[in-house]
Amino acid sequence: MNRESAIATTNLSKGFGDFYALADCNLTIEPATVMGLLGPNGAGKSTLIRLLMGFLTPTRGTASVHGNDVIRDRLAVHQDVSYLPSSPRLFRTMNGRGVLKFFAQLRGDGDLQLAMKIARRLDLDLSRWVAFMSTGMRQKLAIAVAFANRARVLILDEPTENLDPNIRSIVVELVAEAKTAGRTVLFSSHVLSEVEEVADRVAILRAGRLVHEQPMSDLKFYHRIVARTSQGIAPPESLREMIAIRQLEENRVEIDVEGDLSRVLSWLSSIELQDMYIEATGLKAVYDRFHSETAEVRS
Amino acid sequence: MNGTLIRKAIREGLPVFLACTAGLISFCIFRVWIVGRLDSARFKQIVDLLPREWDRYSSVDFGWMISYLGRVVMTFDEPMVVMLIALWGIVRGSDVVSGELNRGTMEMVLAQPVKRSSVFWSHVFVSLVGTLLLALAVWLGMSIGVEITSIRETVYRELPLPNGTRIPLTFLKPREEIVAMNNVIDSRMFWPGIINAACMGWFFVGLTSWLSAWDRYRWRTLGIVTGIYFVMAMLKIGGMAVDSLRWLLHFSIFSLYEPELHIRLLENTPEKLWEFVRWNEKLKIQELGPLGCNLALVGLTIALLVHGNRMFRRRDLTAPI
Repeated sequence: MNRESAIATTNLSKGFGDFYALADCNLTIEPATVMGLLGPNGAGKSTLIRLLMGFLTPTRGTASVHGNDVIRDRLAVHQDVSYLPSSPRLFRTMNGRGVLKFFAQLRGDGDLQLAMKIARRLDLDLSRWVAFMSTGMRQKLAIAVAFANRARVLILDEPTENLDPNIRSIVVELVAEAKTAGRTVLFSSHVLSEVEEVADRVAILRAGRLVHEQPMSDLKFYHRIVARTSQGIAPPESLREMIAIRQLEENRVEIDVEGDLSRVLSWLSSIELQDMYIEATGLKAVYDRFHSETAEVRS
Repeated sequence: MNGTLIRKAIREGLPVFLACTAGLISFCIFRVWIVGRLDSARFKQIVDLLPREWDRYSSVDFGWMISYLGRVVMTFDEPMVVMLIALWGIVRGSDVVSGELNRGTMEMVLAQPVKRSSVFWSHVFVSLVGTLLLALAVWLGMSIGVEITSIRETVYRELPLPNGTRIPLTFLKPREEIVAMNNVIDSRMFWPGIINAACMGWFFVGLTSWLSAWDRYRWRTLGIVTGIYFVMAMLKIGGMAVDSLRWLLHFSIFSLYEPELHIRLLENTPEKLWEFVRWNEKLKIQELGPLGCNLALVGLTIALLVHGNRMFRRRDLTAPI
C-alpha cells in the first residue's frame, strides 16, 4: 500500500456469487484532493464506498485509508473517515439537535457547535423530530453530521440527492472548504456539473469496473467538433490516439478531440466539412464516452 | 461497551420497558389479590375435582399448590408473565442488529469510530439489565399484592394438650378470621423464581440477538423467534402429557423454567436449591436441579451472544433497502 495516498485500492473486488458488483478496482486518491466518482446506478460506486468503509469484505484485493487496511484496521479507518451514506436514515426517536449531539458524542473528534453551525447554514430546523422531517431535511441533518468533525477523509455518497438548488450549492461550498482545509473528499454523484465544479480528479465506473480516471484540469483539452460531411472521414495515423469520431444522422459527424486542438486543425482544414462549430465538451463528453447509448467509434 | 450507545438503547427501549413493567406489576398484584379471594379450603375442593392426570402438568404436587404460597407462586407460570418477560427479550434482542439494519440506522452508527462489538454489547447489555428489572418487577408486584391482600381463614377451635400440641376440633362450627396475607407468605421466598424468570428472559435476549446478528430483516427475526417460542412450549406440554414423548422435554427451553419448583425446594429442602442435577420423582427422570437450570440458561445465553457478536463482526452489511 502507498503510505502517501489518502485512499488506495488494489484489485479491489466484491462478488455476490457469480456476479461481481466491483471487479479489480485500482484507485489512488491523493491527500487534500477531491475525487469525483461517476457512474450510473449499478456501476459499483456504492459497493466501492461500502468496501472502503469496511461494511463489505472484499472477495479479493485490498483497500486502505491513510495506510490503514479497511478490514484489519477498521477502527483506525473510521477515525480518519467521515461518511455520508446515500439516502441516510437517522433515529426517528430523536430530534435534529439530539442526532447531532449523539454523533458528536460518539466520535471523539465530533464538534456539536460546528454541527449546529452547519445545520443553520443549511437552513435546518433542529427542533423537529426526525420522524417528522422530510427526505431533504434528513439529508441536510446527515450532511451536518458528516462535516462536523476533524476526519481527514470525507466519503460522500450522493450528498446532494433530494436537495434544492440553493442547498446543493452550499454542499458544494462545504466540499470546497473541506479541500481547502486539507481534507480529502471522495464525492459520488450523478450531477456532473457539481463534480466538475469541485473535483480535482474524476473516476468513472461502468458495470463494476473502473473504466476511466483523469484530472479535471485535462478537461480543457477536450473539444467536440460538430459538422456535416458527405464523405466518410478517417484521421491520419498520427492523430488516431487523440480522436474519436461518431457518425450521426443526416450526414452529421461528431469528432471528439482529446489533447492539443491545434494539432487537429490542419487535418480538419484538409477535409470537406460544412456548418462546423467547435465546443469545449467538459465532463459530460467524457462521461458519455463510457455511458452513452450511442455506439462509440474510436479510431 | 459505549455510554452513548447505551443511552441510545435505553431511550429506544424505554417505552416497551415501561409498558411491560406496568403490565407485570399490575397483573401480579391482581393475581395475588385473586388468590386471596378464594379460601384455600375451598380451592382444595376444586382441585380435588380435577382428574389425577392433571398432576403431571405441574412440577410440584397439587397438595402444595392449594396452599396460599403455592397458588401465589403459580403467578410465575401465568402466560402473561412468561410472555411479557420473553416479549421484552424478543423485541429488544431483534433490534440489536437486524432492527437497526432494517431501519437503515446501522450504517451511520458503524461509520463512526466505534467497534462493532461495542454496538452489539451496548444494546445487549441494556436488554439484559431490562430483563432483570422486569423479573424484579414481578417480585415487586407479587410483594405488593401480598402486602395489601387480606385472606379469609377458616379457624377451628383447638384443644390444647399438656404436651403443648393443639388438636383442631373439626366437629365444632369453625369461625372465619380475616388475616393479612403477609402473615402466611414471606415475599422473600420468591427469589429463586425471580432468578429463574430472569435467566429465562436472558435466554430469549440471547437467542433473538443471535438471530438478529445473522439476519437483516427485523420482522423475520421476530417471526422465527416467536415460532421457536411456541414450538418449545408445545414440546414441553407434549413431553409432560405423554410418557413415550418425555424425551421432548430435552428440546424445550421451558423445561429449564421451573420457578414454582425452585420456591417449593426453598421452602422444604433449601439445600436442594443448589443441586446441579436432581432426581424428579414425579417424572422418574434425572433432570437438572435449580442451579443446573439457571446455569444452563445463562450458559446458552452467553454462547448465543458470543457467537452472535462474532457473526456481526464478520458479516457484510449490505445497503439498506
